[in-house]
Amino acid sequence: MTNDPMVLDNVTVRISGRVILDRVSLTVKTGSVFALLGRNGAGKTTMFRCLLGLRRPDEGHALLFGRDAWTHRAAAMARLGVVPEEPDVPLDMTPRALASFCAPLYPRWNSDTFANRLRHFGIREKTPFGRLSRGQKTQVLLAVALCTRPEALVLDDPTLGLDPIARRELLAELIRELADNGTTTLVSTHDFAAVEGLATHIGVLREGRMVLTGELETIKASYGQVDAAPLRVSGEAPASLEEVFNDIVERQRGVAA
Amino acid sequence: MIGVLRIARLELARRWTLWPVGLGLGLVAAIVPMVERDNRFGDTCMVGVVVLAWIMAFAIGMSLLGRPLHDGRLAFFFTRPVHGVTIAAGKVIGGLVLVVGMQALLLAPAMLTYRPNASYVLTDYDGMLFAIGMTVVFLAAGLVVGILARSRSRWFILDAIGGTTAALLAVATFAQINQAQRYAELDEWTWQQARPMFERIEILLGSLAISGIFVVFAAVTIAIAIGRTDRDRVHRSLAITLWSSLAVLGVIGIAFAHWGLV
Repeated sequence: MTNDPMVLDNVTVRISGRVILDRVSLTVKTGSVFALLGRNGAGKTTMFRCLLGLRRPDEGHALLFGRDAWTHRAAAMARLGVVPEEPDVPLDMTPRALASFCAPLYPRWNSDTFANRLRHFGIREKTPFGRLSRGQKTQVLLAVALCTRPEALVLDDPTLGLDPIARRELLAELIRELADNGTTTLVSTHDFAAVEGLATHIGVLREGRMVLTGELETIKASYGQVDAAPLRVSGEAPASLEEVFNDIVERQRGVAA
Repeated sequence: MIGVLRIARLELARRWTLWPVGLGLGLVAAIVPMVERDNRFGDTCMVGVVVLAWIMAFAIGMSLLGRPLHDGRLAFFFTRPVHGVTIAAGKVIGGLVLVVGMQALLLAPAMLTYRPNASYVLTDYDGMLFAIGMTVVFLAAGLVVGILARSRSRWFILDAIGGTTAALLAVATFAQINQAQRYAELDEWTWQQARPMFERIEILLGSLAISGIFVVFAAVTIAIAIGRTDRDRVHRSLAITLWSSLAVLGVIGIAFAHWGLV
């Protein structure tokens, strides 16, 4: 039994005989911001679905707050804020109806904070969800997630499809939340620059396997010194998370070839 | 319980326009025969709107769970602190209140403007119960078809086998009863002796039919609770629960019809 908010232990998922996740392990420690990196089809969303108790792993265990995510999903969701990759709110539902639906379900729901967040981003409470822009939908979902005062946040590629301004606003919102409350966060993204300032830990998922996981600074330092040598002829340390990721992907491709 | 009510209320709020539509159709069906002074036309009109309500109940059933399951929008509910059974039960109860309310509003104007020669679905209590009961049947059928058709999984083989078995059992039960009834009706004395038994069988078949509806709602609820947002798993759970339960009901029906009538 562990007290870490989110743990995957040797999780394997097969869909129609195809291995989507292959013995993936991951631990998100309290107060950390874990950035999950991976290309499209790497298995990030399937991994999130296992962690959120939406899908039962074929092998291994997914734990939320130390308990099995599949069997204790409902209880765990009261302590967790979720922003999915594809906004999944019914399209005819307004933000006001959404708040009215969610408020009685969450013991720590804060209606004022929700209304203030919507006002801050210029989102009208009576506009149906289907008529909001992609950025506004994500902002509404983030507002719902944060208004529950969660102990942990799960963000599945929240900046996907957002324009630069919406992306900057979303990240500013996240940074504020993390600075104010130190909420444990698991975020998957393609936006390396965005998470570089947020993440304390990273994991790299490639073709269903976790090829790298650890503290961001340690990984960046070790890559510059040793492992990247065949690929980085200059010998300089990789300057960014994106370079680390590209190195890993290139190296894996080389091994596979 | 609060979760069931919130989800049921959400479904009602999203589709509340069906109630004024039902009332509007009911008013049309009640007013047209008064203007036309033709009972046959009025009956046809009333039967037409009642059938339309059944079709709408079927369409609502298909969209309640099948569509969000297909579109991935059930995850919205499953990422909230509510149990799977609560989610499915809330949606089913919301759908039931919606379609029964719609049918009641549709029938109300005709019931209030009672006409002796009008269609039986308007003027007597049994007719009204039949119309509302069939609305529930169509909702239940829509729920099942919505999930089975939209999940597009390999478990359709189970549906084919289960559906065929359930249909064969139902046909065999009715054939057995019909055959016995024809035999009993050959002479008056036998018929008088056998009549209480046929009445009991009628009650049993009615109970089995009502149980069948409950089985459908329960199977759908269990399937969503087990499969959650996984279409394949939902389809498999639904196919196993539904067809096995209906088969048991079918076997009870045919056994009673056979042994009870011997």
